[in-house]
Amino acid sequence: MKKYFIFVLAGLLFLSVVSGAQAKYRFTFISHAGEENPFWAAVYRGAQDASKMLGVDFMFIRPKEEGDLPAQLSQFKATLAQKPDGIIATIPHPDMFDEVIQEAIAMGIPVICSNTDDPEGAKGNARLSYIGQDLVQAGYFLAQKLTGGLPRGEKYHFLISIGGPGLVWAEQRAKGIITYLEEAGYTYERLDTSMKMDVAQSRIQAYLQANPQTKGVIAVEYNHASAAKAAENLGYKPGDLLIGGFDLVPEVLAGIKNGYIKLTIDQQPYLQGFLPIVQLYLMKEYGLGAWDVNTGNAVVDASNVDLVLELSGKRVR
Amino acid sequence: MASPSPTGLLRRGEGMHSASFLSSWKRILLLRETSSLVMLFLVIIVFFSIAPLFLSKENVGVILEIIPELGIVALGITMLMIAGEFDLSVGSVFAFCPIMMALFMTWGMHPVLAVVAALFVGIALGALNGLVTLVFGIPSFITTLGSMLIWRGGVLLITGGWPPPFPTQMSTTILVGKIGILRASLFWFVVVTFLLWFILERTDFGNWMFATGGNQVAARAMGIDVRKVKLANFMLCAFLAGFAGIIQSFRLQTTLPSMGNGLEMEAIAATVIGGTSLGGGVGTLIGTVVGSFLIRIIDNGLIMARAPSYWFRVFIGIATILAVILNTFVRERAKKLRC
Repeated sequence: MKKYFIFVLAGLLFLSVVSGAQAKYRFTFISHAGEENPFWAAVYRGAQDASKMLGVDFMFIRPKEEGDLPAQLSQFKATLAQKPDGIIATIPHPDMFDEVIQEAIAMGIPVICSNTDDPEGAKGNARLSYIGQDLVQAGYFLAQKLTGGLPRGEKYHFLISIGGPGLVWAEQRAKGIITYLEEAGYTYERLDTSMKMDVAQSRIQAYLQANPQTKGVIAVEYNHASAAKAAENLGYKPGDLLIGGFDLVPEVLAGIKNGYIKLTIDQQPYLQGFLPIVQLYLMKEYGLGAWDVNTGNAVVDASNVDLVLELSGKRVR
Repeated sequence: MASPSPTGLLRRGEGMHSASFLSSWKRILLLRETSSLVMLFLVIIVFFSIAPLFLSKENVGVILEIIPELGIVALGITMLMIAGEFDLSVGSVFAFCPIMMALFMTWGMHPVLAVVAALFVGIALGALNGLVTLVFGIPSFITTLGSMLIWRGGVLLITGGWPPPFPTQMSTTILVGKIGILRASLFWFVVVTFLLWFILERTDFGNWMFATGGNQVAARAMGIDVRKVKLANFMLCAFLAGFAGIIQSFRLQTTLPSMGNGLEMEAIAATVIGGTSLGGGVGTLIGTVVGSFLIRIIDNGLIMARAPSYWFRVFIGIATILAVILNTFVRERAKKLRC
């Protein structure tokens, strides 16, 4: 009957999707970032490259909606049931992941944190090490670099774009940015811009229209690219607004190139995918211990954008 | 929304007076739940053969702990859809109620009272959906599309992105306590399923629902107050969405403004996979339970099979379309079978 034919077809499709290659170690990366988030392509690439070099089996899991933490948690639990040789995870909530990570470590599965750490660091979570940016410090550093040259104490107003309100990584960076702005005596407003670039652009554009006194836009994510487009649409000249933020998606590089974006802080996502795999491999193979890595405060601006553009084409930066 | 013949009533009739001359095989094929059940078993077998750990105690526990939250929401949607209406705002209510609960508690309200009050907020949101739809005579798709955005925005406004701290003084055992690998939420899911099944299949109100969704004009002519039936179901649907949201917040010990994002689509898919008609007047609760299992199992099984998670949407899409095709085809065929 037709019914069985369709079932067999669906089954075959299933099987063809799933490659059953047996590698020495199986590692799983569980991230909070949604599938539409372009930043993670470089993390994925780094992890894939490391896995290929070392000959390990690697799998990348992301929730269907950006920052869907309940989904991330249940994916973590499903991964535990699978008993992989090592887990890499982001920790986007101060205590939601404490228990499962403790459980994994008790089961003898090493867990390394990448990209987003518990706000209390090693004190707040049992993860063995953190590979990523020191988020609060990076936010402070960004605000300092971006407003360098502005007189302190003047009445300058900044818009802070928060793509993930309430999420650890976003709030930590925002905290650093706000700390600096308050020290300098500037005013600011937070805006929930979402992680979708088109939505972010229209929201920032509307804000700039309503608040023409705004001196600049600081993004805790890549929405400075959206801010650059918004500024261009509104007829600002390159450099009229101080625009800066984090990460190197192609739109950001284009914005630096045409002068609307002053700078971006690169946390070198390739390393955040590559290094955890290497660490897990060394821990498994030679019993070495885990170690923290600050993947950095690499500043990208007009002076080095060309080199970065070249590497970006290879999805390395 | 009204279809020319009250198929819901027909369906219920088939099982009763024609049982004597239908072979049991034909009756099975005629059940709306059959195709989703077959798919569910097939999916389980496929995943188990790829990854035997799929059926390990731990993983079954993981699946059973996330199904009730989707399932309870989908049951509410099923009831509403049988009565001929639609609710897209369930995902937002799913976040709204637990946030209100946490807020009530930070104001010093007794935990039990806060939960009850939050559930009443849910009922009120459902009533609003219903009243706007029925008073202004606009499609519920539009009303709830709007309210979906309003409640979600409300959640963000109330919390400012930062959720209120989850009150730790409260016992969570009654909703999510664990016995072995089973959580109390599974028990609540069973209770809700049974209660709704009883209402739908064994009471006058259930009959009114099928009639209202199947053919509103006929239902009105029979003296049924279709507005009351629909309004009650709007309220029930939002109540269940809020209840499921509170269960999730209890399980995670936190209230997140992003909870339930995209849940409405999964709940509607579960309902449709289960054999409930978009047109109203036709549907089954057991099918919805099966549909909820199918969705969560595909999600989990892809991880166990180490397949890229991007496939999830593809498979849910296939399952949804396939279920409806099978339902239509198999039932048409079965009707023609000579027994």
